[in-house]
Amino acid sequence: MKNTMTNVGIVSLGCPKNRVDTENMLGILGDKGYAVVASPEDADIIIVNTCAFIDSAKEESISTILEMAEYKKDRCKLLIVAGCLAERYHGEIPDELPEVDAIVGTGDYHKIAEVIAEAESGEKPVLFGHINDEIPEGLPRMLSTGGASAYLKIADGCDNKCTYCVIPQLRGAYRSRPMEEILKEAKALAADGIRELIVIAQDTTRYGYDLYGTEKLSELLDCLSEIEGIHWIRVHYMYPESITDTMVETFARNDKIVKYMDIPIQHINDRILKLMGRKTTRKQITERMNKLRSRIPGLTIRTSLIAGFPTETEEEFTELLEFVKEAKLERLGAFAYSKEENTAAARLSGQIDEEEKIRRQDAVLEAQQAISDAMQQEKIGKTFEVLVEGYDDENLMYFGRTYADSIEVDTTTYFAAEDEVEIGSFVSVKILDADSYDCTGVQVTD
Amino acid sequence: MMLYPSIVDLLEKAGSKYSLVIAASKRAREICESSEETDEPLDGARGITKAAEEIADGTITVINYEGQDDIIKKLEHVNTDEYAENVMHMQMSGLAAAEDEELARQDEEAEAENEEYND
Repeated sequence: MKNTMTNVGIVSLGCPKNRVDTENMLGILGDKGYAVVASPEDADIIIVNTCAFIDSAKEESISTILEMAEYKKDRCKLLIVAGCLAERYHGEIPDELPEVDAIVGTGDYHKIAEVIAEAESGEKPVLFGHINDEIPEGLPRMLSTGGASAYLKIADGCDNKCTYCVIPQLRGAYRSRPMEEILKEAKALAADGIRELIVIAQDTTRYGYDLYGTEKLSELLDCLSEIEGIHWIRVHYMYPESITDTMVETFARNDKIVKYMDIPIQHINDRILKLMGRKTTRKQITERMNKLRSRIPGLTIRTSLIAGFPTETEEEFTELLEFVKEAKLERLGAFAYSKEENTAAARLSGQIDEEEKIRRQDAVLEAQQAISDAMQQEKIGKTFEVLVEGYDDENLMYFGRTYADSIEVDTTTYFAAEDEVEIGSFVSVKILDADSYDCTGVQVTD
Repeated sequence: MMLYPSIVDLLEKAGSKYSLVIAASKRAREICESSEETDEPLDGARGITKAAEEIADGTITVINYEGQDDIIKKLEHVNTDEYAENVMHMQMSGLAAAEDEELARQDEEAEAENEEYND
């Protein structure tokens, strides 16, 4: 098998799509006999699966690599950089970060065992440029999300060509996974006790067009809901212009599809949307959201906005801010525009200075905070189905999530229970208190 | 929402939002762990507040790894391959079309205003 290097540690940065690649790498290495360790000081091999989407992500990736490199003074023998920073900067990393022993691009993560073998023999492998290869299927996977939830990646890459975004250059063209492969994986996850599937891709609404010539997300979701053991199906990364009537009806009638839609819209002003390369308009976004709300009662909508896009005027920003206040979306994140080299938006004159971008971002977040706080208070007295995720020893309470909360980004519900509650089960919880981030309640039984 | 210390002060001390978040969370963890041995254990939220106060008043200094800033600067410039160039050209075409549309719209508006004025 291998020599004395037996322990592997991995730091996974960036988005859930990257996380799934991390889980595949861990699965591959676990099958090869490596032990996965939680602390870097116990690792012979450290892998940093990086993000390079925006400036702050690059900073985080580099800082993490330097932090992990410190462990090479002790037990760690190999430091491997994988993911989007590796793909984007494969030429620069060997010179700028000589501590790195191997570089694995986003299309090469499934070769991690071979990469380690090569690095162990003294080579410094650099793998990149396979971003448009067919997505490897049947890879082992070691889940890292805990509890009874797992991400389900249904496609990779992106064809949308938003002018501010480097993802197509890092993740390649859009490629749907064959439906039978997705269902096979989902059945295996369910057999392992997974109760919630979180469907992800760079754009979930485009699923199927490349392979089948038509929208296939609706059918896929229906098929997933028939898998025994799966109780919740959650969908992220939907594009408003691609949400079809069939999708709306599927969400409305299928009880297993949680009434939660992640629809990053980025902006609301028509001119800015055009400059961003977004294929939608204010009218379409608002009409679509209104239709969703009328057809799906209790729907939670999550979105993401960019503040300070080049040439954004004060009036256009005010329009964005007013939209945030009027739309009252349940979940909202906002980023300050990040000028990324080799994107069209980076070449626009009229770039807004850093302080102003942050001011605008903060204004959006502050406006949303008031809305979120009020919505949290409205939950008091209501009863929700909660997926139990764990027990908090400090607060002496169980915790979990409602349908309106996705993993790692939304609120947590803490609750007291008379009897022991199984992790991964679903219980009813009446909410007694709420603050900006959490709810507290008590389990209720019929 | 925590209004003090102000985000402006904290960013000045930490250098970037990312460094601030990492430093504050690391220090908060230390504070919470050491408070467990006392009579007044702190929870995560109060740990973060204390950590932020320490950063703002200079009790804690946030430093980046040696050479980190230089590396970040150097990685601003990246060589691209043919695929990346194609992606960017498609983005540029989209942008050019959007700008042309905007110019046409402004021309139409100006024309409509002129007609109104002449009437």
